[in-house]
Amino acid sequence: MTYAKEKMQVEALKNVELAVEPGEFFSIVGPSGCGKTTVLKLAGGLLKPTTGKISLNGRSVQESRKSHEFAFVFQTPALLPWRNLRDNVLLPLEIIGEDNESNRKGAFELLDFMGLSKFLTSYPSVLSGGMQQRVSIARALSFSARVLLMDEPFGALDAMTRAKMGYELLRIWSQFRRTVIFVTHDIPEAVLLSDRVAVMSERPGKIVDTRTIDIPRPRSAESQNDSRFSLHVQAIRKHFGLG
Amino acid sequence: MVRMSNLAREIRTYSLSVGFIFIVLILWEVSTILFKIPQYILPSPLETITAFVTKWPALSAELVYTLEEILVGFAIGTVVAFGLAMAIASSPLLPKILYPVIIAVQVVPKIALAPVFLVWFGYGEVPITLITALICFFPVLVNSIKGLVTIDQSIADLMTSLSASRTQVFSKVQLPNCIPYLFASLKVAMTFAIIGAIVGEWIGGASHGVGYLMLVYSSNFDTAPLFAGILMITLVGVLLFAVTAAVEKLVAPWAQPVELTFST
Repeated sequence: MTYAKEKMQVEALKNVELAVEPGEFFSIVGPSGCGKTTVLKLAGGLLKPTTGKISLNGRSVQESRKSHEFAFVFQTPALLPWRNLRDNVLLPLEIIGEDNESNRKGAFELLDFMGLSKFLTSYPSVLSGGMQQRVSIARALSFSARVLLMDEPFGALDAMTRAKMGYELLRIWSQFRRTVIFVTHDIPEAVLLSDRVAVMSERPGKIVDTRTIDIPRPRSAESQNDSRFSLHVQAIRKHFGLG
Repeated sequence: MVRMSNLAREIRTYSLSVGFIFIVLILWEVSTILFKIPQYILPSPLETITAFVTKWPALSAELVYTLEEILVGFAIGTVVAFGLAMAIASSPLLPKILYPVIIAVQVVPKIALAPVFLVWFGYGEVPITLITALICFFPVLVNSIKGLVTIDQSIADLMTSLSASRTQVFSKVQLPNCIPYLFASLKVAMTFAIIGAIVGEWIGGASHGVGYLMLVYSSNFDTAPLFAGILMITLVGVLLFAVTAAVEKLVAPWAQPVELTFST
């Protein structure tokens, strides 16, 4: 797969073949600049590949995007500063024209579950980085998208907040099941969260390994003590010459 | 407690500034007496205040004219500028073509076009108001375009991922995104409007207005009332700026300060 950037063609990805199962938590790990974000943007129909094919349940991802099948969480929270927390979370419903009573109720239950109900009228600028990213996750789950695409969502957070957010994401995901494609450069994070982890090498990006993570769910901080955890982490680190 | 100490620190900083101003005023007062500076060269602060009080009827009567030029000119200039900015920003290509041109035009000191307006519109309040409108126009145009098109890439991606229509992107992202830029430029335009009106009165052969009155005082070497005129127009400037800032707080309490593309 290549994609056109301005007029110059950059071969960003080569022979990337991935199949993600419904309801699966799928991670892509790789060094910065290996094209992980590009894979995610292609998968969500934000970019068009110059060659190759990407589809969701047999339909092109462009079509799927138009029928609102994808929800993105970016590295930055990308909240609208002029909307309070509540209105930020309701934005997708407004845009896709499904801002009705029952959907709103669903969104408020989600906010409650995520412990955000106290801050409904707060503007993003007064919330901490971790809190803003939680709002961004709530926004992505607020509507009926089937696939959640997360691009290093915890990349801008400090290590402690980052670890907490990982467990929080597991808790939310076990409640609001979605297919997740999660991009990160943090190997333990990918192993802890995922059903499968794809390992990407540098430009042109290639998938060099896909590992099934056989640590039982529900997972928690305890899961890191599981012997399989360090085995998977070690095996993935080897691909980057860190082993 | 943190809040208290912040407040205390702010009060201390402000009181230091106010104290500094007082010291300067006292030095000014003392030096006019000490060096026997004649009043027609440099009136003392007290003489200026006295003139401000005694000339208040004349000054305030003329202020009505100047204020009308300021406010009408400001309204015309900013409304036209914002309308044009929206038209330009509604196309993906136009800002790219026109923005560099507009930036280049910024180099022309707009006030230098004032004599041209006299040729076109003759003398009187009309050209003065239009000069005021003209110098308000550019900062609002430039910064509104900037505010309408400078969208955070992730927010743009978010809107694309939701397949938002162009109208939705405009009303839900571009327009609110522009508000801090708009107000930053309105504050500049407001101070520019005062310059436009006063200079307009000077070159436009006005028979009314604070600027006109200052010329009369100046030609009579009535320097203390002249300073009173400066004081009055400064106070008007501070007041109008404060009103604009207060409206911003009301309309967009969430707004963070933005960097302004400057204009003369």
